[in-house]
Amino acid sequence: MNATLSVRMNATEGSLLRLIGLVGRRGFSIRRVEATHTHNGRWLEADLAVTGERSIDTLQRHVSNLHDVETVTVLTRDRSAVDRRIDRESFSAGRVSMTSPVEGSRLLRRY
Amino acid sequence: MSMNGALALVRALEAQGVVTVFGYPGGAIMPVYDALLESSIRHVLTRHEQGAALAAIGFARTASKPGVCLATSGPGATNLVTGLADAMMDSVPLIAITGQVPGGALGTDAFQEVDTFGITMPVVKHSYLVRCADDIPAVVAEAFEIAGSGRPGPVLIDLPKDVAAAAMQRANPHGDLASPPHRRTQAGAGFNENELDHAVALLEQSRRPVVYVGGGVVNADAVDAFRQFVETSRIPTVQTLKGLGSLPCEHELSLGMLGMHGLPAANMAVQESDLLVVVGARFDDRVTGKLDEFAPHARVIHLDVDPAEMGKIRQPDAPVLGDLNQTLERLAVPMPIDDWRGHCLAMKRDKAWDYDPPVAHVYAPTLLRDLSLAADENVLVTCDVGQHQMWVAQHYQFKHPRQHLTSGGLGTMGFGLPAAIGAQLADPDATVICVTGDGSIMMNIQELATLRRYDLPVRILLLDNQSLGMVRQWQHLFFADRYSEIDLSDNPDFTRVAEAFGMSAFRVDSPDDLPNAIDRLLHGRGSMLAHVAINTEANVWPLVPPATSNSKMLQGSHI
Ligand SMILES: Cc1ncc(C[n+]2csc(CCOP(=O)(O)OP(=O)(O)O)c2C)c(N)n1
Repeated sequence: MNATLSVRMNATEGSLLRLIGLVGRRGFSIRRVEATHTHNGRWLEADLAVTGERSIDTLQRHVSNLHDVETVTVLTRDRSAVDRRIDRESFSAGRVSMTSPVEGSRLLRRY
Repeated sequence: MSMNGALALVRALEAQGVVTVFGYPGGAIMPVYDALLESSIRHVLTRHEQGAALAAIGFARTASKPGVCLATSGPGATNLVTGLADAMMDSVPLIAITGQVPGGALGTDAFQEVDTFGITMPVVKHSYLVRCADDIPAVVAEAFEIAGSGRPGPVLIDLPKDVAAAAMQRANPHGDLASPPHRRTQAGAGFNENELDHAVALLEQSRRPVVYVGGGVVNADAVDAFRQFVETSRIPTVQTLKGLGSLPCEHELSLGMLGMHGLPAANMAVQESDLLVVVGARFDDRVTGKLDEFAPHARVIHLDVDPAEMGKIRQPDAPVLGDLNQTLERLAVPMPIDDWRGHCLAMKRDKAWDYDPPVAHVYAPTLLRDLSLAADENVLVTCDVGQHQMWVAQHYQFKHPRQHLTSGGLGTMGFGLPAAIGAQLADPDATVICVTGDGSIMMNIQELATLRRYDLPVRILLLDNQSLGMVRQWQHLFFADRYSEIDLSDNPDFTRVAEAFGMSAFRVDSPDDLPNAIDRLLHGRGSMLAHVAINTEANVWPLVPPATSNSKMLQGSHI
């Protein structure tokens, strides 16, 4: 399944590496990643388009377990929607807005 | 001595109540070793950094608080990696502090520079590369908080030498970071009433429930709550390698270990059950065998503190996230399951082990069973990895899980001796026995020098089959007797090795020697090694071949 995750985490030493490494180790390949420091470098906000056979909910919980992670949102988990989005985005430069989740499921803090 | 980063580190460790650290010095960590001279903290010098990390794990698992290990940069740090991975897999609170080349030299291939932060990232719960001495007190405080809370795990602090040597700028070295570190609530602190109600409903519907308990019960300090739950519900219970002793092994309702080398009654009960109550366990492949044939008729209630375990391997019908002490209490309801309970106990009786097979040599299961019957709760057993480890799990009658230190998730050969060192230092009054094999003992044999240096009365029970027995068994069963690199008949004379390190040592060659040997192990003075000759061909039974259903247990002869 394809999915897009939106992650907000503390911008600490190696936080992006930690995020990307975890996603890969837990069985997903990353098709696209876009990350930006916000709030004067306090936050790292990253959108990842991932693909893999395993449960995206489990991945979401693994990511959420990272100490630096504040929120993880699954923006899309619809195969065609993600494919279309990636096709479109691969042609555009700069940061693409991800404000309209196709099937947004906000991660509860406790999960 | 004026307050530099290294001294601030040592003071921060003291503030965490650290009294013992394990380590090995070298260039980049020298400021910390210098600061240790100013401290009441006891530094235990192992003879290899892997020994330091594994000893810190043994300490942590015995003392129920984070263990601390130190190493220098480069090879010192890489030697810690196995210990970090072990702690990660077994959820052990461990703080590893490594020296690093000075900040300005990072990324220049400086002498003894490796990217410790990067190398260790997959095997830590969290890590720090400290850039500023003033951050040290807060980093240490946060590291301990992370290592010990929620699902415990290892935390690495990589400390460049110039940061360790730098003067602290801020007046209060115990104060907070200039920019306070990020605090977040640990997941799993509370629990959800609906989840619990649903779980109770499933329990009430069940006619054939089984409890499957793992090491999470120990990490959560929930053994009492767990026992209360089993005593009230009176559900037959199976235990993982790390859950052994959660219910005393001799308890009527304990069916023993499940999984690849599980006891028949345990595996059969799980396969027949209609409900699994999974408590602090994670459906490891060594437990489940072929996953889609594991407990095929069972619904699942899964109790754990880690949300990422919910549905990671098997989707629970009722996930119950939270502190086991609270959730178990709510699930403790009496269960009207007399027939099923009777059936499980009958299987346990019918499949009882024969501890008196007609063999002329020492039979390891009998030795371990007899040893445990003569031992009390004050005896701690550490294990290495292989057949001997499985025999301990199957036959040693643990009274409490803290008595058993074994490398479960990573299966680290070389774990036993350093873990015994850590356990003995954490509990000086305990009798610590390291059960090992002739392969594993050689992985960290240098730590015999640590026993001598600190005068630790650890007992080593070496089961010598002159081979890498577990690998030999697999080559026998799954590689058509094509034996490859498993012969260890050229090992040194272990009694002489032990004596060279100042230990007493004796041989056990015949079953007639066992009572005397057990007596010496339990009541003799000082460190000692018992070298037990067992049959080279002995195998661990039963065995479920990998990726096979747990109902297909292979049995072999008891030799
Ligand atoms: C560090 C490490 N290397 C290799 C292995 C693979 N391995 C598992 S059991 C085993 C044999 C252990 O031999 P021994 O310690 O003599 O125990 P026995 O099985 O004979 O009781 C090996 C090589 C391992 N678990 N750990």
